[in-house]
Amino acid sequence: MRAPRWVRENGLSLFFLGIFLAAVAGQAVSGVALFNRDQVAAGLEPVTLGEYVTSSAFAVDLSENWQSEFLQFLLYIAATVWFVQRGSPESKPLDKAGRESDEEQAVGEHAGPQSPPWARVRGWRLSVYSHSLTLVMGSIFLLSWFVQSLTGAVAYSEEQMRDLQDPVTWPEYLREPDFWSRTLQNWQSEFLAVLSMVVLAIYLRERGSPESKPVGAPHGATGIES
Amino acid sequence: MRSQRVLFAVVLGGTYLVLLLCVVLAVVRR
Repeated sequence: MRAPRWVRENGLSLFFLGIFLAAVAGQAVSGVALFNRDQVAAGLEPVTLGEYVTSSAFAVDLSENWQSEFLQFLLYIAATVWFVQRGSPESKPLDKAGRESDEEQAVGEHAGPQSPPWARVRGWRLSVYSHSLTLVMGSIFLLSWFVQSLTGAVAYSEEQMRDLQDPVTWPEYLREPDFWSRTLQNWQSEFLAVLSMVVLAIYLRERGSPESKPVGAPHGATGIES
Repeated sequence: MRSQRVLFAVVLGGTYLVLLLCVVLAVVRR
């Protein structure tokens, strides 16, 4: 039995969508169990799964991880415009650093008949479209980080009250170690993962992966993905 | 290209929707 064509043509997206949904479900189920353990220990009523997934306690855990992932890709996309790494398949060739010419980018009069409409025109539409990926990734990062701060303030205040301590306002929470600890522990792992990806792929290979150089490619070859 | 457009809308729309929902719930439920 062969998978339908639309499944084969969208396999990468469907695979990640599937494991994303499964992981979120697992996070919800294990999260509510942990949350209720603390509730019961404090002499409070346990919450249902529905109440938990609409709570700030769940939202802050979700959004703190989201913001760091979107920041990671935002920085990756933007930094690889200007910085290169000799030998890395993630880097452009060493002499290509920068925005590149209109001809190389196939914009304006260099655009082809199949080029997106906003790549064919000059002016603000070309400017916006030329940065649309970072604009969208950046806006999701900022929104996620804002959601983390907002839901973090609510969840932290609930914990404080559970421990018979004062709740905090949103501006106060922005100065709390809880906010910065949640933020930075996610950032450091993302930055290390990108660093590893860039450096390890100079010498290591995965046959058939477009993220790797071809197995037989020299270690010194930069910016060639198989 | 139709299924690619659907995927694009689901991923982008879904991400923003979840985040906006979080803001609304945090404000309403506090």
